Amino acid sequence: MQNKKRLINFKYLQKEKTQEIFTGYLMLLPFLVIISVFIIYPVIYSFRISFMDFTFLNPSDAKWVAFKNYIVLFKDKSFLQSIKNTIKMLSIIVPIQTILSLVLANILNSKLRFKPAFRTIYFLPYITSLVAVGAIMVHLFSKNGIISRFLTFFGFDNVTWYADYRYAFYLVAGTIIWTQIGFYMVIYLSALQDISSTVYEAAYIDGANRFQIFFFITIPLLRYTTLLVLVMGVIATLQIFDLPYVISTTGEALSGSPGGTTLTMVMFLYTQAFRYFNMGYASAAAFIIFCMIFIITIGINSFKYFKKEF
Amino acid sequence: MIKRALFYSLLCVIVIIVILPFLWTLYASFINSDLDVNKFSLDLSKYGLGNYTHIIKSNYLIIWYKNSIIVTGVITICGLFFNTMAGYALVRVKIPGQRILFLLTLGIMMIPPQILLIPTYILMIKFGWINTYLALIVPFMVNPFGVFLMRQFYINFPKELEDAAKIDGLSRIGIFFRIALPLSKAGLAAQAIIIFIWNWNSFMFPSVLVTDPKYYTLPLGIYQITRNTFVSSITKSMAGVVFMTIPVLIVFIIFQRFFIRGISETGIK
Repeated sequence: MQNKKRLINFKYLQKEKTQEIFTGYLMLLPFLVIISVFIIYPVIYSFRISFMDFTFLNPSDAKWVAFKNYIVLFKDKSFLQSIKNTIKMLSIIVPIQTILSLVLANILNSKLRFKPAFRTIYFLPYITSLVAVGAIMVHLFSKNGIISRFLTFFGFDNVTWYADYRYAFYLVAGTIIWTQIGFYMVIYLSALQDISSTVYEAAYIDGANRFQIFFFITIPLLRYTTLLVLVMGVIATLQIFDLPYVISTTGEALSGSPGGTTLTMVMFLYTQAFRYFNMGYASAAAFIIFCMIFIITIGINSFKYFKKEF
Repeated sequence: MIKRALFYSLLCVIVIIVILPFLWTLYASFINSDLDVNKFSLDLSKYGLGNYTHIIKSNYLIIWYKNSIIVTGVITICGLFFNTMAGYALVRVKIPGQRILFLLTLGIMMIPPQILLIPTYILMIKFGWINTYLALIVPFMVNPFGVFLMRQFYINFPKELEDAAKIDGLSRIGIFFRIALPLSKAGLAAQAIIIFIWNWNSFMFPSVLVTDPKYYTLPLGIYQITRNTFVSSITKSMAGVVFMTIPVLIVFIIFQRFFIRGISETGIK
């Protein structure tokens, strides 16, 4: 009798277990299907056509050319310029936005009123469409535009920035920083709020002044967050497309104008693929960008994963 | 005391730097003549709604609005549904390969979207979805960030409620829909607003997947307006910008608490 009961219980548990597994996979199904079709397959496909001479104007003519696309890419002046521009943007945008958002977060973290209001206001540029931001900045910085004229006090020429060989790049970089500061400030703010005030009190008692507290206590405590902000900033900057594209194509100009000074790597990809329809060539560029970003992301994330007491 | 005054004034200077472009946009959108854009004049006769009426009449602005609302709305609702289910399944449901699937989700999050641009375009052409809502919606219905966010949320979810329901005979799906989901409002709100804002402002992918102006979303449409009217009218393009930005602004101001909390949680953890 006992054995029969145990057998029945076992079968019931088995049924429950399979039902649970079935439900689990059912719940994951839409997600898995869509990422398989629209993310995993495209990545593989992109990798494959990067080895082909594939122009969309004549798809059936595609032929396998192994590494030719990649070799030509590294001799392509436009591509090299886009890499140079993107790295230049990295070196300007990431440090400035990190430092400014850190300082701003600290100021906002002290005992002030209206904190939520300030925080919301600083966040506004981040949630605005980059098309809109581009359109606005193009006009504010055009000849006799309000900001152009204001900046003449600081020694800048009164020109249309987006069309000027010297200034266009800095218009893009500056605008990007303007949009990103609110976002990183919020990340720093959350991290700052996790630091208990007893740390600061102890420092005060020991006679430290505000600057010493900031440099020797706050900043070291924010090491992890700063790493996060830096990584996010680097990845986002490597992917920049919308803003420089909108600004440089104003008034029917070619993307990357003037003279390719605002051309980023992703803009190069886009132009190759959708203006010249060299899908294979563009995919090779895409894959190079992908590798750069993917390697950085994996590197940092595994570092984070394996060294939990950072 | 001096320190406090210093901080406030610095913060206010930054407010000006942040807000000035928006204020100018609002101002320029109501000015009738292009020549006045760069000066501030109190002459009320120079203001008017002419720009707004013009762009509504001469463009598909209303249609673009409709498109953006439909596309962003459907993506947000589907995303909430599919992402949350997946996030829940990754945490609470005992299935083999749970950990592998989670690592897969993390891996997908690290893929930069640019590499998907060309293949998605080619895929949409093969499916015949170019210039339809399908191309604008389906590839973006699911988002690994959303799955990750909900997974983090459900890790801290009280298990006792679920166990009690299970004893009472509720199936796993039942538990999800009747207990877990209604109590996840905070996580859902954070996810919803991130998805909404990101997709409302999305430009790169739609610019490639949709070439017929009748199917443009707002960013594409406004881009067209600013490009085409550039020579002829700054004021009209500013009116377009205001049109596009107002909904996002309103949604954001209402839900900003959740948005910021959502970012902090995915970012920090």
